[in-house]
Amino acid sequence: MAVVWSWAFGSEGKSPMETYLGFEYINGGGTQAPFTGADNVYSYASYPGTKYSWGTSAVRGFRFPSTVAAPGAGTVAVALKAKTTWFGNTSSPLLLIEGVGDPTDMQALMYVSNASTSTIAMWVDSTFAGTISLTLDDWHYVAISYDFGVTTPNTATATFFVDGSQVATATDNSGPTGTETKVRITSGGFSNTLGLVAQCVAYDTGTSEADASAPIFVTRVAPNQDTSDAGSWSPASGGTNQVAVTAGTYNNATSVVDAAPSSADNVVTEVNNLSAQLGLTPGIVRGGTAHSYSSGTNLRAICSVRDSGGVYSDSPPFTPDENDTTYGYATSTGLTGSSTINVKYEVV
Amino acid sequence: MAYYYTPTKTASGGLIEVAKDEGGEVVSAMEDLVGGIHTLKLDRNLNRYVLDCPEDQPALSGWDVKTAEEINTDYPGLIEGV
Repeated sequence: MAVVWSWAFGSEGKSPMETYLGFEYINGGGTQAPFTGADNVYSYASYPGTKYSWGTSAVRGFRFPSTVAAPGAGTVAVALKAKTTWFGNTSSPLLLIEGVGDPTDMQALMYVSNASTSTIAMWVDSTFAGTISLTLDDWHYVAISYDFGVTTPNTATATFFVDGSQVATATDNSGPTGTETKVRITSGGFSNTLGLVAQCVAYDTGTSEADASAPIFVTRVAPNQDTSDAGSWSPASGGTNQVAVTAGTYNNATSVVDAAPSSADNVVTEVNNLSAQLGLTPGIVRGGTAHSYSSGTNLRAICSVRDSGGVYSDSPPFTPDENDTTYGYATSTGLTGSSTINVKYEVV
Repeated sequence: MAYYYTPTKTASGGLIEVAKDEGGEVVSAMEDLVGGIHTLKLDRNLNRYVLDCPEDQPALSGWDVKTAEEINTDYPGLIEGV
């Protein structure tokens, strides 16, 4: 394994992000919305579609869905940009990776220590690791490689990277306890005017720090053709019947439904025009993540993704309920720039 | 490069911050730090950081300027190649 989760922001607003997509918002009010336009997105010249980033004003930090970072040790990378100003507060981090579960959880943190001089401070648990200066109005690719007690129990180690270069590292073994088995990602709120976060990639230790910290784009691709289904789904598979309600921007008003689900019922759609959707044929594809949002009763489900010639990578089983959607994701590292990608949702 | 011993101050959230002396009181110096600083060591017993700073980082009140040789006397092998 290598990439365990990836995300590119879309046009979804705060309400569906919070209610249905599993994001958590730390403070209300201010600016918390998707932004688009050439100056607001992290993209490349030939991309033919519309990209988005998530924009926040001061103290409006947010958390990515829980459990998406690799437990114990890995690397998390985000692309971010502060427009016009920085805002300094430990609770409004450029990037915070932290264990979740008890009061002595380990953390690795980057936050603005002096907004007027664009100085960023870095910490490993309670230990100061160093500072860097980051320019305003430029995209920066920020990554933290963390080891929360895996190599050495009761010891937190983290290394910080900006735009592919290591900028600090530190170890704290005078306070952390145990090994973190659940790790959370927080960002946002780091600009007094507008702070943008475009994407996030979480790696486990199967990828080298050099590769995981190297800037790379995350781009959404949408299934463009139905492949097959099993069970009594509405709409049924055929042409783009299911793609019409399962691809692209999240919309809680549309879905594909199996009213009498049984084990092994599934829906499969595909991306068979990857180069057209990306506007290029990428030479490096580190992975692809399928995201599913579903509701239901008395069933468990998985989502899966594969190169059509390969084996599915499955999510752990999850149990949707009726109150809202339940998030599931699966990441495949067996994709290439010429893949036909299958994504599947299956009752188990 | 400039090497400093600095005092520390524990913030309310538990972070052990780089500090300075201000009228006899130890206060946070985090806002006074420039970019490009690397922590060489946190000595919890003596409540001090050993910092490797760029030349534009001025010495603050309560900071001690050190040479690499002096640091290696206190912390053998901390700075390689000296």
